[in-house]
Amino acid sequence: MEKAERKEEGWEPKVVAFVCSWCSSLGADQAGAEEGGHPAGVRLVRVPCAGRINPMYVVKALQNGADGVLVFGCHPGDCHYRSGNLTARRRLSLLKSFLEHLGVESERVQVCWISGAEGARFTAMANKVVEDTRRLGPAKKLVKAKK
Amino acid sequence: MIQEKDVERDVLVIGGGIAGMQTALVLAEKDHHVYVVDSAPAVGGFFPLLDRQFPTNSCGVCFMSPKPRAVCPTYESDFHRDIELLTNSQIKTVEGQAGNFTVTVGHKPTRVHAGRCTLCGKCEEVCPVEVPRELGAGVEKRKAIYMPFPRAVPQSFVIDEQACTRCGECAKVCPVDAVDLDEAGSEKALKVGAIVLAFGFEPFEAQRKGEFGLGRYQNVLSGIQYERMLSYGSPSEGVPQRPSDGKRPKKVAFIQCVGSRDLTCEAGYCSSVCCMYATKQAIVSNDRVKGLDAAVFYMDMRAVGKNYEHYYQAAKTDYGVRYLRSSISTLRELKRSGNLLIEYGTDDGQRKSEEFDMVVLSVGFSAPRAVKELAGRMGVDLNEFGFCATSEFKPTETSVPGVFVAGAFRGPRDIPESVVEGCSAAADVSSLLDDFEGRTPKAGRRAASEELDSDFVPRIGVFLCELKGKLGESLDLGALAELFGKERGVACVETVDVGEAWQALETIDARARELKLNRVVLAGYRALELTKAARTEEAVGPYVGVFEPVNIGTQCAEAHRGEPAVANSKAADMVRAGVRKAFLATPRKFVERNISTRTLILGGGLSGLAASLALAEQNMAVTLAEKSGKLGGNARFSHYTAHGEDIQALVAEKVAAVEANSRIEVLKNTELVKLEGSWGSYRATLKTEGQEKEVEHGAIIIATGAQQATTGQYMSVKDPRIVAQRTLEGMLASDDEKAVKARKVVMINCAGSRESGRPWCSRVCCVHSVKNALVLKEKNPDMQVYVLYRDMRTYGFYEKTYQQAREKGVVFVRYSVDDKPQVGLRDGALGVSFVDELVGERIELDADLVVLSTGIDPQDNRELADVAALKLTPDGFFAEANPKAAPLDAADRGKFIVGLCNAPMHIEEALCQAKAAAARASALLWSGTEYRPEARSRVNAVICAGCGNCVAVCPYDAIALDAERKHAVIDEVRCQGCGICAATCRSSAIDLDGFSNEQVLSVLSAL
Amino acid sequence: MEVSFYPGCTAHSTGIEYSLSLKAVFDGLGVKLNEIEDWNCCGGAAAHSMSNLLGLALPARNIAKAQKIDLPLAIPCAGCFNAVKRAQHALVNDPDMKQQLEESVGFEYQGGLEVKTAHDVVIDMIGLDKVKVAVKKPLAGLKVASYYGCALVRSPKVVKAGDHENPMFLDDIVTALGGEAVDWSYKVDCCGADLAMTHGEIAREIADKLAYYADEAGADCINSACGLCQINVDLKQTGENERKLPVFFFTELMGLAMDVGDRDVWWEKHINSPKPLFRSLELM
Repeated sequence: MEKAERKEEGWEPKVVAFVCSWCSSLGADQAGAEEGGHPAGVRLVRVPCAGRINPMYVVKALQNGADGVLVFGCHPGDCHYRSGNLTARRRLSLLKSFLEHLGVESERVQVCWISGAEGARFTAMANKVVEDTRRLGPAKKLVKAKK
Repeated sequence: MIQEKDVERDVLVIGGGIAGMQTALVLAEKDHHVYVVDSAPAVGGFFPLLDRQFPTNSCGVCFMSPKPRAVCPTYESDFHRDIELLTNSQIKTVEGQAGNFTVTVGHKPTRVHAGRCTLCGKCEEVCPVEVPRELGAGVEKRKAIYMPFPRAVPQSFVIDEQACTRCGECAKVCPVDAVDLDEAGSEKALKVGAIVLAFGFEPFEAQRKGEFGLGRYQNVLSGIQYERMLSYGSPSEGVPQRPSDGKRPKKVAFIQCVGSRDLTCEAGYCSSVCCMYATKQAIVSNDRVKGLDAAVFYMDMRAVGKNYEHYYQAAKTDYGVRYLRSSISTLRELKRSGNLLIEYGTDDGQRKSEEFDMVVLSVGFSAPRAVKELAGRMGVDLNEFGFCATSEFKPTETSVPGVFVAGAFRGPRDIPESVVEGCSAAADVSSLLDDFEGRTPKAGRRAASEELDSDFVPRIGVFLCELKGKLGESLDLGALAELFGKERGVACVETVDVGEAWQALETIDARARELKLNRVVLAGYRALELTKAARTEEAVGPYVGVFEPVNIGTQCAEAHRGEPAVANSKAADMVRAGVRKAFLATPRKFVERNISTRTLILGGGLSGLAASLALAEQNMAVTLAEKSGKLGGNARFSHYTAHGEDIQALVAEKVAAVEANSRIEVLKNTELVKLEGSWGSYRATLKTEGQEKEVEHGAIIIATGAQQATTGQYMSVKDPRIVAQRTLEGMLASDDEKAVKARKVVMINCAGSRESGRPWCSRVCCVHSVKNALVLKEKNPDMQVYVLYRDMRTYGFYEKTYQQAREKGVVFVRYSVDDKPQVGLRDGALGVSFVDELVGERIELDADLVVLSTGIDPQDNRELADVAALKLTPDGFFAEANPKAAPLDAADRGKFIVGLCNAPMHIEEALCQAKAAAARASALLWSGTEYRPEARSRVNAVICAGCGNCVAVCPYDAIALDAERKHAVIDEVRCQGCGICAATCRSSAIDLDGFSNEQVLSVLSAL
Repeated sequence: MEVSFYPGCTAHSTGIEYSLSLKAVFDGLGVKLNEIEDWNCCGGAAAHSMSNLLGLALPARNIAKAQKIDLPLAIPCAGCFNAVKRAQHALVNDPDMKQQLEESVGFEYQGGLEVKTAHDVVIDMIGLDKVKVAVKKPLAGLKVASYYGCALVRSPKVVKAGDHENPMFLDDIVTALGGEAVDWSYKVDCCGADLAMTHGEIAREIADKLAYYADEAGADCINSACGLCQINVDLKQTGENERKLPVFFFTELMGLAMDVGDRDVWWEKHINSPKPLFRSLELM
């Protein structure tokens, strides 16, 4: 507990953002071409498709100390694997309600569709999650005690 | 047949829009080196404007690539080693003839070195010149040095020669010395065997219709401007906004036919797409601004494409879009509110005025003016409107042999048609250049994987791309390098110069061989370039087993330009994650398999015949299976087209050609009873008169046609004087007196169509009614011909035929579906009673002949859909993978659906589809081998419980349960490596190479 | 500077203030008007509804008279101008009609006759720079909606007056006079004059609409160059709007700014007196 409080001074939220290899990667890339297009605390993890994201990854990210998790996928209808984004949507909404049940605030895990041309949308969404988690404070629920 | 040495193999495509890129992508798959010349500084045409398309309300253009998994056609053209993009270029001279053209291409300098530009945007900040942005259509501004659009290919800033004042500020601030204000233009001579014209279109300049006030009334926008506004990349991020005050509009009016169907601006044709794009814009507006009231002012709603009628109906019922049939009287701006006041007449003759917050003018397509002169020099005939002149039976051929045409340059058309024509033109080219035996794939297409040892000890090379100038200052590569020297498995950490895009890869290749590296982590600039690198690696074969790109450019150096601490710590995390991931990676193996070059074609109608011939001309083997005993299909009952072409002659010609072709095996009275396997190795069981036979084939083209619909309506009196449109055509062809001597003929369009029971529009009937009415008038000018219709859907240049019919005195009367015409007998005479919707009066006519446009019904396709694993639309036609970008592809690779079994269409369109599918099938199969990375999803059969969840989620039907051993089995050919199955598996029995659970978790631990 | 001059009937009757102000202004700017001899009614809106030939022959006769003088023909009235342009268009583009017209009028069209409106003379021949110099009392604060109606700009192929949806020439004159040209959307709407006698209610509705939208756009008055537009909008405003707007001929505003002519006589002719407006802006 003491440790966590110390952490809060000058604390910057850490957000793991999963991006698919297609539209989302390009959108993130476009966002990055602008200065400030990526918030400082955001770390990207590339997967082939949002549908590849095992709910366990989200939990692991939170366990590893992420304060928020953001999942980017292609817009419905644009998935490069036809329907992976829709599978992801079902899976993650289920996970979210489960996490809420455990006491993880729903704003900590968010899902967003972007296209390769929507750099601004990437930035807006990434900032939103960073701000939401900043408001909520560090995620402590699932964090494993460090050895 | 030609001799290989007689022709040039290279191909020139002029115009890098949807159609041109499609042609290039297909031909490049067939080992043709394709030059794509575009006068714009970036390829894509109008692509970048469209991020929501009808009828899916999504983008999906990536589905257009003939290969699976594409980033976007623009990038795929860029990535393809056989496609050379010549942007900012113009054709200077064209000489020679089919098979041997010499073309000089002039390149205008862009004055920015594309290879060096890092897109940092500093030049743009200092540039003092501001001009309107091209696709922003006057609403947005850009500088004289600019990015044509965010994802432009080539990825580089360019200088607009016209606007540039040569002040030199950009050159001063460029951190990588990419600006060269004195760059000179250059010329290049190309030797090509064929040329494809894909010039596209120009949007109609709505300023020419001053009454609509574009450019004068602030809140009046052209459809192009509004499209841009609805794009997420626009300054308003996709939300409609009034230019006058930035407010969200609550009421938006769409005005149709601006620059279409209008003789005052030389546009005596229909632009075909505006009805649907306005509908889409109305729907999307409604999504973006809740409760928005959209009204569409139109003359005829021309929702003629596949499923478009449903989309139009949904706009009314689900989104409350109001459709007002009226050519508006006036449009005026109110000066205080900036609102627009529209006066219009209603259907019941009332004069109404209504205020709107915003007005969108649905501008039509004009012919591209800039190419008129070039077309003239090449001897390519244009039609009276300036579009390319083509004939109905050779739709993608121009008047010059060896020069082909695709897309909107042929006339206003929609994306799916442009995609189809792009492939169809590719088929024409291939027929011309590939019609010889013994072609072999270019060397370098394959590389050996055998050398790789799957159990090898990781030797990771970490390569950090040097970032030049100011960007370099935000990252300390030296410090980064030190961090990873001690990571597990790292053999070397080096920096590489990426001044030229491919230099780095060459260096890495050399170092990998020298140091015996078997895994490479490349920390570079941008996702696009890294993808390009990865794609090249895929193409040339794995010189190392593992390639892990890490994007420290945009994600660190660029995004955190001003914060080196953040940039460095992020880069450290990311490279560390990459190294750990590479350490855990399983090396990738490439496998080779033989595939069948034979294509099975189901259906011997015109589509099937045309597809067979196109494949045979490309030196491909065909098995053509026809259910009946005769070839020719529905076309056997048609006689002439709207432009007077002889259909019977066409059928006879195609049948004779098919039967004489040794590459085509024709099986009549034959049906498909079983289909197994996947693309490249399908096994079909065909049943001919009770005898079954197996055929191995690589692809299948479904061309099983449709049938003339029958309707119970109007047939309550059984009378030989009530006939279907096609029957009339036959009567006219044989000069049957009952038709040509009739005094009065009444045609009823949409007889039984566009209402419950047959809710789709059959696309062709309006044109057929006009065509037959004209023939009636020609044979007997005194005859009174009435056409009763709901919307006249004479799209494209058929509008002119419609106009001719009106000029010849054919009477067109509109009726409402709620009050349909009645046909009855009175004292033996045939009578038609109907309400003219325009004047609101009931009219009684006696008729010598009543002709019903009954539409087109699909066959009962359920059985075939079951056998061939195809999906059906709710209407019963075969469903395509993507209505815009993959209109001919079934969900499975190597299955194509063409002609009437796909959707109702004209012969011209069916011929295009047939050839297009032939081009796609041959591009897939011609080399006879497939070379690909081995399956990426793996099942651990010991752990697998056989629950079947993976089977359910796989989008490619690539997983099956082994019935005996009760575990999942993955079809290596079908698997695309998405990993959805792996994420679904409850027991972690499935994992994905390259993104294994272990790898992803290692990445998470590193961040 | 000299032009030949066709006054038309309105100039002698309901639009007398147009011809008085025109003469005063042109006099002030040194333009001599040579009235063509023995001119006749142009046929206006009436003749062509009876007979196409008559509708063209009447103005053709005036062309016959005008071409005897080797000067541009100035026609202040928009209706007359339009009729003469129609006849000229037929003479140039329709050989059959040309023959009929020449036979019925008894002349031979020589071609090349320049037909100008009064504002054409002001803008093309005199020039707005010269007008600016002649301005003694700039119309500061006067917000003017210029009203073109139909006859000055339509049909575009016949009249060839430039942008027929958004003409600016009267606005340019207002600006040259120091007034404030107000942009509005109804500048080329029909004034309904043809309906004034037969469907008075519709004409009133139109006049009210025009005045309402000129007011809505922020104008205090309307400026026209057509005898029928002026009288119709001036006369038929019902007062249903918040206020009635004075309607001028542009030459009246020129006269006011140039301080020429017996202006009180002009203002007396107006139904809606402009005097209170002028007084409020200290323009008189």
